[in-house]
Amino acid sequence: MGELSDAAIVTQVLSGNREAFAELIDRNRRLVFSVHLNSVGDRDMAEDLTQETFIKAYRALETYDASAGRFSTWLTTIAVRIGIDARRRQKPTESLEHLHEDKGFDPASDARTERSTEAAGVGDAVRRALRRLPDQQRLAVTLKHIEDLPFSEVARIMGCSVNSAKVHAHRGRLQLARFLGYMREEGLA
Amino acid sequence: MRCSEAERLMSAMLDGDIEQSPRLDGHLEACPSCKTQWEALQRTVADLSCLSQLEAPEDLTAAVMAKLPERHALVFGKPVGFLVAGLSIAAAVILFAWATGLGQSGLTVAMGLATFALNWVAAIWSSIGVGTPGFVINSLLVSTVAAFVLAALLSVGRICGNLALAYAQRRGA
Repeated sequence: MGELSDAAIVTQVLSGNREAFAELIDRNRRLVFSVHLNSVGDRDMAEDLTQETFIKAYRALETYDASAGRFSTWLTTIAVRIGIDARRRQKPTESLEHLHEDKGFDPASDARTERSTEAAGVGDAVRRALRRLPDQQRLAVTLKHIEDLPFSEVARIMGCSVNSAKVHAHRGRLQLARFLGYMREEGLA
Repeated sequence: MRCSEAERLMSAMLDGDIEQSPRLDGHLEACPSCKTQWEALQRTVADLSCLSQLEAPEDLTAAVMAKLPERHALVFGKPVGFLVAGLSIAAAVILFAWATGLGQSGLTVAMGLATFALNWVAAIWSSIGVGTPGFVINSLLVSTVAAFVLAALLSVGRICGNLALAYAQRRGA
């Protein structure tokens, strides 16, 4: 199974090999979980949204067109839509002042998620700042600088041109640098 | 060089479009404001890379696999499924027309054709979209079953009515 492409595994699942879908989950769960955790901040909620993403993908698997792009791109598109809906249900907290009041992130649970406690400390601050960005900016920054995807993939997931994706990433980086600078000045990071 | 041009070059470097720019280096040496911004941006990108060490929960795969629906439920997500549903509904409409004696009605025939056409539109829609809306599948399933049940009930009603009429006529005779 390890040598098969994602598209080949999709074909197997559609042919009735339900268990093959587990391989698709194993290969893509980190990416989907990352997109959700950076979007909602809460680890348990991110896990629920990740499960919802894979179940929705399974239901719509026959609509995946391998000639149109990678499976991970298609899957992330579904994750993004689910994440945007989930954020709409959350209370918006966009201003700098709310960085003081942020209760949505649990450093203890973050420590379980990161490989080192040092990364967890930085991750806490960066993730809190990330959640203050508008959806498009946060997504561009997440996919480009955390998931290290090329802008062609970022643009496909976001449903925009490469130039637009770059503009979103640029504005997101500037905002993020401002947020993190503020947090360091206030001793929040 | 203007600061706006320097910002454009900083962005191009962070995007990976260019690896270095002597013009930007020269500007940064002369402009403390841009230099501060450049350092903050570089630090931000470095901080973001820390988040790439994230790991998904180990039991996530098993949790998803336990919740997956049965595969046969997906048949109605395919264009073929819509065709089957469309044909079923058309057959149900014809059966309905036969059972109620309205077979000659142009309205009944039009209803059957309209239902069939609507299902083909849904089939084309599902084949070009990322996902198949659940309500389409559900409505097709429900309408198909409902049409068959209605036709069956009407058939039984018609037969019972005829039997009752024959019995009444016999008693009257």
